[in-house]
Amino acid sequence: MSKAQESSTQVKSHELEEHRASLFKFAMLHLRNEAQAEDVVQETLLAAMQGAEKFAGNSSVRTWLTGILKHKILDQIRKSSRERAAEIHYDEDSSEDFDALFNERGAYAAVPAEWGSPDTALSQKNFFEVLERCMQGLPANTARVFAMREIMGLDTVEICKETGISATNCGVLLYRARMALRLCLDQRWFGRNR
Amino acid sequence: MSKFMLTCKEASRLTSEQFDRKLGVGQWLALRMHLRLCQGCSRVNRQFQFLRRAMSQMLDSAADKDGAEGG
Ligand SMILES: [Zn+2]
Repeated sequence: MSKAQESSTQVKSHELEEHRASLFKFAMLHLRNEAQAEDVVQETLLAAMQGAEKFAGNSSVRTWLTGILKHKILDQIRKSSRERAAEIHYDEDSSEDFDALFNERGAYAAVPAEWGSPDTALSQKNFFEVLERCMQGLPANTARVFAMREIMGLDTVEICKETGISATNCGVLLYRARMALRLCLDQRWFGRNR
Repeated sequence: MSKFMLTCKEASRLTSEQFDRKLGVGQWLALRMHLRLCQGCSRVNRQFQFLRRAMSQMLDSAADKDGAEGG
C-alpha cells in the first residue's frame, strides 16, 4: 500500500475490529444463531477491509459497517428461509395468544398501565439491556421479522419477499412482537416498582 | 373489521397495523374513535410509539457500550 493511499480517511483493520462486538449484537438480534451471526460479521469485516479505500469518510465507520452488515444479514435470512420454507407457516388467527388479556367482550380485563414519560428510559443504558433481553424472549421468527421492520426499517413488502412469510402472517408476527415487548417492558422496567 | 365500534382486542391489532401500513378510511376512523374513548388502548398506542423510538436507538446503545470513547 502506497503512502498516498493511506490518507487520513483510510480505515485501519484494528479500527474495524473495535466494532466486532456491536456488529455481532446487531446480527444476533436478526439471526438468533451465534454461528450465523459470527459468519456474517466476519464477512462484513473482510468486505470492509477489501473495500477500505471506498470508505469515503463522510459517514461514521460504524454506519458504513452496519450498511454492509445489513446486506449480509439479508443474504443469510434469504438463504435460511429457503432451507426452512416449510417451517415458516402460521395460521392466520394466531393473534389469539393474547386472549388472556381480554375479557369475553374483547375489552382489556386489566387496563394497561400508564408509562408516564417513557423517553427518559432512552438515556439509560440498563434500559437497552432489558429491551434486548425482552427481544431474546420472543420466538425466533417473531424477533427476526420485528428486527427487520424496526431496526433495519424494511417495509412489510420487503420482509415478505426476504422471508417468504405472507403479508398477513407478517402483520400477526409484528403484532405479537409489539404486544409481548410491551408486556415485558411493563414487567421488567416501567412497572418494576409498582 | 368494517364495523364501527371496535373491541379493545381489534383496536390493539389495528394499532399495531398502523405502524406497518396505511389503514383503510373506515378502519382508521374506527380506530381513532376507539382510542379517543378508551384509556387502555390509547396507552397501548403510546407504548407502541415508544417501542418504535426505542428500537431505532438500540444499535446506538450497543455501540456506546463497546466503544471506549463512546459516541
Ligand atoms: Zn380499548
